[in-house]
Amino acid sequence: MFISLLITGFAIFVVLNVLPYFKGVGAWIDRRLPIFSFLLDHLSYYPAPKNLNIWYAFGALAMVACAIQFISGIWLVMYYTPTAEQAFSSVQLIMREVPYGWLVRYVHSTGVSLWFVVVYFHIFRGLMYGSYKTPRELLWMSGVVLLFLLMAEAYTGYVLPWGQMSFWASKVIISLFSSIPVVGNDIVVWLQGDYEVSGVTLHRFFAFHVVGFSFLILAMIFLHIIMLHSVGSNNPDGVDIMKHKDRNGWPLDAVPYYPYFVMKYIPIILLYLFVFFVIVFYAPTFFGLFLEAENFERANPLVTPLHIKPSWYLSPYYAILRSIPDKSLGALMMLMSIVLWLFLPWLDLSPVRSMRYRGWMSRTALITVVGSFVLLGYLGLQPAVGWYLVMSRVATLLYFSFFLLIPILSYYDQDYVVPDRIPER
Amino acid sequence: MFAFAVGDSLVALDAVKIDTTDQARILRGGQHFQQTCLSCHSLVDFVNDPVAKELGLSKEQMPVWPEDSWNGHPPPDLSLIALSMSPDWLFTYLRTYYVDKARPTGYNNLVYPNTNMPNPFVDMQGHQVLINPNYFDKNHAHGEQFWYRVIKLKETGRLSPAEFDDYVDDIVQFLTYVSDPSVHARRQIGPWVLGYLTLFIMVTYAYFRLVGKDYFQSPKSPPPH
Repeated sequence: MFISLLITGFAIFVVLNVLPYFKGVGAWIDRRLPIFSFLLDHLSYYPAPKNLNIWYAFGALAMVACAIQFISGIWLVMYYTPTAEQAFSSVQLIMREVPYGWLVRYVHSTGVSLWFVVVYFHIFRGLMYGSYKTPRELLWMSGVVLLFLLMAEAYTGYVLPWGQMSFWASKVIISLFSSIPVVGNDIVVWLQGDYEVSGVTLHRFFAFHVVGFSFLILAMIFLHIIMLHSVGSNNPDGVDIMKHKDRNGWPLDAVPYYPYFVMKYIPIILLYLFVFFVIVFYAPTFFGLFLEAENFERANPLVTPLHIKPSWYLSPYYAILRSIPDKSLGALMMLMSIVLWLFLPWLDLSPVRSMRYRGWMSRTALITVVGSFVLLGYLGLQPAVGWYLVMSRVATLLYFSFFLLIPILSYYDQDYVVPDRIPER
Repeated sequence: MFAFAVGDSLVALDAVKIDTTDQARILRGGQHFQQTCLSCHSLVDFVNDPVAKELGLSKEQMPVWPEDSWNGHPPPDLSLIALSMSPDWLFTYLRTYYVDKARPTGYNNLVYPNTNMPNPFVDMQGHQVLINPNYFDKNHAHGEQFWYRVIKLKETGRLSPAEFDDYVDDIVQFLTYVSDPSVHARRQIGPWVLGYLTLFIMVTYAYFRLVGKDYFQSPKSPPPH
């Protein structure tokens, strides 16, 4: 894995630094396959606002996390068997018999959790600096779709080890589709490929995981970056850097992404890998949060686990589902908890992007929605009884009140004056 | 297979310190396992491990139970038991059998009430009984009480209590190793990988501080193209 990462890095280095000097060959290739000018356009000639801070590294980190999942996934597919009889033991085969199989598997299982950590921070940065506001509405919406795809990918992958929690969590999630009116039950049978969750279900989830959602994610990431690079990056001050350009059309407040930000973000990416491998080598189950204890037991359709709980990264949505007494409404609200984010660019009426220049109302709204989301994440892992249930209802209410209140709060908020240029600090 | 579920213990779990570097102890635990557990429990996933080879564990020795044996509760395979339960759970579970005439095996368990497993350690540990025979009638059952406040040793077996604790501890160390043998390789490679990354972080960060900062002070725009 390391070697492939190093080779990729070296290849990029060569392409960027060496080949352009071979004027003849480079130009010949470039006229037929514009690979060098493409890279130059998107790295060296990409104007990045000069004040991009550490929060902006999470986008790059999400790409790294994605690459890690794809590379480790290839090796897992080589040994994994997607049948109800073999799946569980083939995972043990990978863990015990395949040389460094444990490394690949732990990298893949740690990778998904850290990918979600990175993506949630990436989304928080977007909310904090108003990266969803005009002209980046479609960019934001593609990000929401990406989150949805990532959840689908993670969920289908979670089923594959065919442990107890894989089986029962998939049963719970699939049963949600039965609350769709009229066609619900047909959809459930179509998804399962059977009248129960069975080996057939496992096999098609394998297909969804390895080919279906993963390629949709790649395509969507590509679109996400194309959109980003056509409208340009936002920045912590929310200033529009395209207003002031020099004679050559280069924004005055921008620096080339390569080498400036590449240089700045490489230590951060390595720091991410450091944390990553501390977990892989010293706490691969991460205290039962990344690999749940219940999932080390083979799937058994006859025995229901005491508490069925989702992975930590899906627990906020699960908490919303459980906090609503009606199942159909709960499933709908669970869906809405993500779908509503699509409309955020039009719900937020403030003329100011960044929280740095927003008043207390917008800031409170942001803290509330983030706080309730984190609280829901905690509550989703606890049994839904007593105070836990009461609290998850309050948190659900707070979470959804954000979407009702943000148009009013952002409209009446006392914003500060946004400077014309990025201020010197 | 048993329906194990963490959290339905009637007592608090004792903490056991797992030392994966103590190879002698793991081997000793493996021998204990062969003596007391292997007649019923298999370790199917473990047979190709070097430690299994050293112990002489082979697939032929592993018992195979039909689904309907033991009244539909055949003894489970223990290859992953320390991960699906926990070392603490195993350590407490194996030591908290007490005499209960109502059970077909004559024994009940505080950590896993109404367990189907017969007490495997009668001759070593001896008999434990409820301190207060009416304990469960008064609805005391909750997870915070310590087991030694609920049951006491009535009759000592072949081993003293301290020796018996050590014996069970060895088995738990062994089963913890069995559940994830990658632990040795991880401990071996880990420092090298992390050291390499630390060095790499320092170099790239120093480069950014020394060279990159200057660029940011006076950024150069790329040539027009």
